[in-house]
Amino acid sequence: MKRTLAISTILLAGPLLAEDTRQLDAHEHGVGELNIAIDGTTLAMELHAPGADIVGFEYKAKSEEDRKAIDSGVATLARPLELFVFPAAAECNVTQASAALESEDDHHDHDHGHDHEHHDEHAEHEEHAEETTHSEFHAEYNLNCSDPSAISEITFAYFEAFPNARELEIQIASASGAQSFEVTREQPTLDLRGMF
Amino acid sequence: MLLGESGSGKSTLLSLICGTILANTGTVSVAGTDLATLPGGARDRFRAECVGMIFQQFNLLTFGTVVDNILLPLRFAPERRKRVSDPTIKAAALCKALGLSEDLIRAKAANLSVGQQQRVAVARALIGRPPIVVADEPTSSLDATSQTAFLDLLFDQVQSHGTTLLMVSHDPRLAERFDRVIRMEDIAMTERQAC
Amino acid sequence: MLILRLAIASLFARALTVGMTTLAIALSVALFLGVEKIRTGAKASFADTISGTDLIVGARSGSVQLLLYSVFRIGNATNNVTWESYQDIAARPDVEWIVPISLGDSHRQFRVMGTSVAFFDHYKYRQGRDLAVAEGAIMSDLFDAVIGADVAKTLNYSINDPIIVAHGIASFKEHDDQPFRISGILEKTGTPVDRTVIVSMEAIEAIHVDWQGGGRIPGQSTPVEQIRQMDLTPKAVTAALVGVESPLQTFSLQRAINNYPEEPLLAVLPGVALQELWAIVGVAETALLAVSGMVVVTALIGMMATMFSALNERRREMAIFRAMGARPNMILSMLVLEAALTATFGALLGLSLLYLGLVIAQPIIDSAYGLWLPIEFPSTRELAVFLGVVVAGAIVSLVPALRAYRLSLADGMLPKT
Repeated sequence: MKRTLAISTILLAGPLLAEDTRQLDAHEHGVGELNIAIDGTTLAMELHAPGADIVGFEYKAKSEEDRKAIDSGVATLARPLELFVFPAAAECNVTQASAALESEDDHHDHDHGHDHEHHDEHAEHEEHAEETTHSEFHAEYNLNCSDPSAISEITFAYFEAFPNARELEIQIASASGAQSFEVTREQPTLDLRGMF
Repeated sequence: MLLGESGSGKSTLLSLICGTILANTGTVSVAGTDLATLPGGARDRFRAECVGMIFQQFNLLTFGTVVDNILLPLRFAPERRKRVSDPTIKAAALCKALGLSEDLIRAKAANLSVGQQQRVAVARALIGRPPIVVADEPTSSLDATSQTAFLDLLFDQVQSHGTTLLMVSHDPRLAERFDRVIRMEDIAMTERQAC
Repeated sequence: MLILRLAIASLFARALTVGMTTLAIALSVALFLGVEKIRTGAKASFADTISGTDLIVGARSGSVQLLLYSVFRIGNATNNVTWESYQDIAARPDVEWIVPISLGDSHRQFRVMGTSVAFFDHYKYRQGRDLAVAEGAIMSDLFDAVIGADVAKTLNYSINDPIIVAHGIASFKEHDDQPFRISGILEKTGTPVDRTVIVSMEAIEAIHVDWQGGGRIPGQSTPVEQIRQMDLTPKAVTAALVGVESPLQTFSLQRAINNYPEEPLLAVLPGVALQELWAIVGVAETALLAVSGMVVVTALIGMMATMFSALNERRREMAIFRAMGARPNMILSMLVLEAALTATFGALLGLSLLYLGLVIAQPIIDSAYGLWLPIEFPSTRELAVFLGVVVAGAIVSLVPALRAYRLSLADGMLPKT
């Protein structure tokens, strides 16, 4: 019985994870995602980063030390201008910043309006979530930049702050359309000349 | 003058003098310089500076103009180049002195007759007044009448430029025109005796 | 200077063989740059096809697939989006505008697209240019059709001509009972719109009144007048183009659509989907580029072979240089210089061939593939290719040049010919 349950969990977890994949793209350790949208002088950013990247683990905090690490990670994430360095000429200020740790299960409930049937599957999934849990840090920022056209590049001090992060997949949406980029630890700058 | 039958080693001797080949034994001394003591590049430079060369035939770069051919050695011999104030004018003067018409100077070398080519070769050997002019059977490709006329011009110019002429030939009739005549057999004899 | 002049003169003296070599290099360079040109032209053309649309929404599939069938009319949708879901999305406050697209019918070799009049307001191409009507007007009646420039040109259609819309692509079962009329012809855009017949969403419904499951319901033929009275609200759309109120909402709207609980939907950012497409096409692109690169290498090896075979005839020439006091090094550099010159001539000729070819082929490629290749000053990339060919030519020539070096050392003034 236990075995069939395990199999059915895997089968059920498959589509669930796949659904998530679309939203978060693959949860791959070392690879975070950053969406940047710009409208006029307002810049909105949302960051999704695997727990492994930010604090080095993804299980539920077990010790005081773990909790401290998470708090410090969240605190660091709440200071976007220290992670994403904009050219001084753009004069960017943070108008709003929030960061939080969300376990995978949390945002299922949160983001999906699953019907009842779905919830049942979900509950089963949760039973086994302990071993396979993934946690993600989410952060959202709003910036105000007096001169967005001066944003010729963004330097990612993010990789210095979080030694486990390897890569950020970036999507930028502006009035001129959307584009995707990749920034890596080895090449921690994003060239945006002519973008805004 | 160096007199000898074909295959007697005249051309090899010229190559030794010009420093394009080195002697296995003995020394080759040209204008007081022991060629064996010079490194390869310096021997090439020495040849450019001190030796004006006239071959039996096919002297010229056929795709170049007459003046290009005459000026070519100056490109490798800065000292010779210094002795000529205006190379193009000097080249024209040499051509004139050698009985080549003025407008020929811009012609392609390929369009010249053999006799004209040999005279251009003389001009090229003499420009910048090198101490030695080496001529390897320069008349063998010419007919008898042209030979005499060519030699007259050659001697005139060599004399007026104050240059030593070392000519190689198999024709003993030419010997009377030279100050010194050495026969290849004699050299070969000496060599054999030495062995 | 003298040496350069002599090198050029020497090349001209061997005009035939050098000419052949130059031509081979020229053709290879033209091919290489041509491939490059088509590659970048195709990219630019694709990128120019859609602008101003923030999201493309369709049934859940792959983002590249959705982009291809909705915008480029390549391939088909596996599923449609229900009209209810479409209405739900349209009603969201962060949606500024939404345009439905319904595909699946065709007219001769051209696709028929059902859409709303808003399509003409919101579909933009080539950095925000609007569609313009060259003749007539956009559809105002149920049976009006607006056709792209290529459709009009190929089928020789003019305003008010009747047009028959077939169900299914490449199907012979034509909806011959619905008399459509051409109300407008669009100006050429260089996008798939040129090859599209545009009708209203209601018209698509009207076509299918008497049809079920791909076949005509036997004995049924609803008169046109009766169709006009019917409720022609669409049941489904193939895809929808969406504009957001503010770019700031792009990602949240995308997420909301992707997590839409009632129906599996997919929203993609057109620019990002295009980049994904490039990543896929990149492999073929690289292969094509590699092949044409090999052609350049072949031409250069041809030059090397020609130089080798000419060495024997040129021993006399080298002997003269040696007698004049030229070092063997000079012989070597002269041959390399010659090769570099040949490669330069070749590359220059190749570049001219490319431009000549472009001038001739530009309109042909445009009408056949809808691909507009711009004629402009060589890009830095093309100049880099140019320089690369010259340098590669010089490097390749080192092999025969080194042999010439050794020959001239051995020969001195006395070539053994």
